Amino acid sequence: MRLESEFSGTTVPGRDRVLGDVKQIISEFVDVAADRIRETDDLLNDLGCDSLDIVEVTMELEEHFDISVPDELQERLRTVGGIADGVLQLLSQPQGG
Amino acid sequence: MTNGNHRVVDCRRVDLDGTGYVIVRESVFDYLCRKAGVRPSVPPGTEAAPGAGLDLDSARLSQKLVRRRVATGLSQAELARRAAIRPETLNRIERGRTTPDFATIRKLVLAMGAAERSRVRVDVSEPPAKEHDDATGK
Repeated sequence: MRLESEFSGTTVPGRDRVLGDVKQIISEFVDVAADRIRETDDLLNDLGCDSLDIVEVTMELEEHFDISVPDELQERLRTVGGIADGVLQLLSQPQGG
Repeated sequence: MTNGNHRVVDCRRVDLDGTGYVIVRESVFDYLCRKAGVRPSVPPGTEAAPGAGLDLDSARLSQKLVRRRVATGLSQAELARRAAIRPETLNRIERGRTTPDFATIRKLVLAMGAAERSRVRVDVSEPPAKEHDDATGK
């Protein structure tokens, strides 16, 4: 059973809020505390993620923010700030269906 | 695979213009780099290419995938079936011979996650074994 995300409404959260949540989620997959993760950090090169971690981070982001990340966008999301921007972009899009 | 306490690395030594080089499999090279805490240089022009970094971690990815699959109790064939990918493809991924794209990794993660959840459900719903009661209630 999946709980409804607090982001499933119509209000798009601010970038700081999204960035903070993204850092928190990433910190659960890497050996770095959320407050030590920088916006410019690259998941592969700076945070020691591999592609399996990245997919799992993405799936966690999808559940947390109630979004669906297309594969072509996922391939471009390499830095923490870039991920936050990608999430914001998806949250800003009108829900399909 | 071992010689005394040391693992043997399959490699070839070659001499080019008086300089000796050692050729090892890419997965071995990546493994050795990780153990040494170094990162190989990236050829110019490929630094920020989408997905370029994925090629660097095929060895680590394959090891993690194998560990995760074994932990879920799935055979290679069963995981391939559940993830709807060809068994040969999963075999190549697990041997570090190919680097899967995000879509394939996602299928594998979803299939292993579902297997883990169903295992937890079975563990929780199964009553304690009868023999255990007999052994402790002596």
